[in-house]
Parts: sequence; C-alpha cells; structure tokens
Amino acid sequence: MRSPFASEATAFRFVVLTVAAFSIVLAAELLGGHRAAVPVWVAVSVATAAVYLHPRRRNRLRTAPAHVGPPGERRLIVVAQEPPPAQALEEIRDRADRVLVVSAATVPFLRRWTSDLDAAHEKARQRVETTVAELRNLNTPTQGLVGYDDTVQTLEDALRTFGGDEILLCPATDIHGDTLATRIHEQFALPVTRLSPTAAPPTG
Amino acid sequence: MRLGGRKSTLNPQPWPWAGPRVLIEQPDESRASSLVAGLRSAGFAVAICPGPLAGERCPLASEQDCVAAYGADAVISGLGLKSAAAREALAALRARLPRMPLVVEAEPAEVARWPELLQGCEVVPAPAEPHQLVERLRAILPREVGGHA
Repeated sequence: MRSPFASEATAFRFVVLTVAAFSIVLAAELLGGHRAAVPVWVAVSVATAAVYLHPRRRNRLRTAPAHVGPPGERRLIVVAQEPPPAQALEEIRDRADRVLVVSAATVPFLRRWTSDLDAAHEKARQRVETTVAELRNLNTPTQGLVGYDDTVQTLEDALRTFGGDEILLCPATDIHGDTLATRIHEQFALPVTRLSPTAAPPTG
Repeated sequence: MRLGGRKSTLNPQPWPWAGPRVLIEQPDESRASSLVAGLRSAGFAVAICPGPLAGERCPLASEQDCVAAYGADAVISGLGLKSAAAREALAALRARLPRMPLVVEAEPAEVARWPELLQGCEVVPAPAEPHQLVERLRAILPREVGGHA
C-alpha cells in the first residue's frame, strides 16, 4: 500500500483528493438525496482505495556500509538458512578472513501467533551454532547472529556491526533462496552469492 | 524545467548506515560495483542510484524527493550529460542541494558543450578510477566527514 503521507507532495495530493471526494458526495446528496449520495460515496471510496492499494513497483537504492576492519581484510556474511555442506565450509574458509554466520527465525505470517516462533528461533540458533563451530574447526575466525523474523533485517543489523564485503546464501530450498537473493540484491550494494546445498560457491 | 517524463519508480530510503556517505549515480551496474568496492575500502558508506529510467524523471527534478541525496555527504554523478533526463537530474541536484560536495564524471566533449551546468563542480574525466574519485572526494569533503578540506 502506498502511504498518502510519504512526502509533503503526496500528503497534499491526499488532502486535495479528500476534498474532491467530499465535494462529489455532497453534490450527489444535494442533487439526488441519500439514494444518490450513498452509492456515490461507496464508488468514491472504492476508487480511492484502488489508487492507494495499487502495488506500484518502486525500487529502493542499493546501499552498503563502509568496510569494517583492517584494510584488505575480507569479511563474509553467511546466511545459513540451513547448515552449509562440508565442501562449502572449506570454500568459505578460503575466501574470507573473518566470517559472520546469520540465521533468522522465519515463520509464515499465519503461524506467528502460535509458539512456532520460539521453535523456529531455536532451530536458527542451532544452525548458527553448528556452522560457527564447524568454521572455527577450520581455523576461521567466526561469529554468529540469530535474528527474529526477517532475514534481510537481520542482515542489515549484521552489516551495521560486523560490516561485510560479501554475502553468501545457503538457502533451504531453491525457490526460497531465489526470492531471498533477489531481496538482498535489491537492498544491499554488495556481492551476493547463492550457495546451493549440494554445490560449492562460484568463484569471483 | 519540466520535461514531461513520468515520475520515477525509484524509491530512495533514509540511509541505514553511519557516515561519511556517498551517493553514487551510475547506471552501469558492473561499474557501480567497482566504485562501491573502492569507496567502501576508503571508509565511505555508499548508495547506488541508477538514475532515471527511460521516460522517467529523477525524484529531485519532480515533485517527489530524494532522502538519499539529502542524507549524503557527497555525490558522485556518473550519469553523463548526453541525455536530457541526466542533465535535468544534475541541475536539480545542484538547485536543491547547492552546498553538496559533488564530483561529476564527464567526457571532454560534454564539458565543452555544457560548461554552465558544470560550473563549480569537481569534474573528472569519465570513466574515472575509484582511487581518483576517492582522492577528489577527500579533497572537497570537510575533515569531520573524512576529507581534507
């Protein structure tokens, strides 16, 4: 939904639209009484709702924070929606000086009101702990971060503190991974590499 | 100046990162990525604006606004001056944010053809290397935001 108060201009347009709508309803009332005004009011309301609910595609600007850490240190954020396979862990070790493993407790909207969120958070915590332990076994300095609800928001939090020069996705399924990769690519001006659960990441 | 183009589908958001912040106007994604890497290494947070799409206008040149531009410490304009929309975007940026440190990448022919548009800007020959842009930025930015000025 487009906010009518997103800017001064859109708020002004909303005021003009509101005045125009009331004028039309008032004119209908004066000309035809209640029997004309009510359907006109309904029609105007539906038209206004259609204008603001229309899902107009608008693109954010992609952003990235400044490099964090010593010059030349390569920091990698691994989004572990499932634990990376062993081969991928070695690839991660080879391409990063420091790693942050993040995972968010993603729960479908309709199930957020149940205790599923706690269970999902626990699963995310386990994924992070497992991956962090495995990377540390490979002598890679690694930290972990568990987020609530939204992976992209968790990534933003991670970038704010840890920094990060590249984002590596280890998604649970192809469809989810593609959607997530697109969202991340549209928001962050950083290289995003999608890691299939059975394949090593591409180089470059 | 109104060219009659559609409103932009760009939706600039407030910066989520601490400064110094550089807005990079660059339509070429691979070149933007290269600039991002260089500027981030030099300590700048970055945002990439691809510029107005064909038939659209820059938010700054329309009734919309650009919080990313207002929140930036400097802007690197790499849109060129060949298209009317790009020239309008540059003119709007200079009109709305006259004190914004601005580095413009431009070809010699563009500099010769639109000198009034570039007057007072830090102009570098296009395409500039990331380290050249970092040097120019540091030369024009005040010390408190990572510059030497």
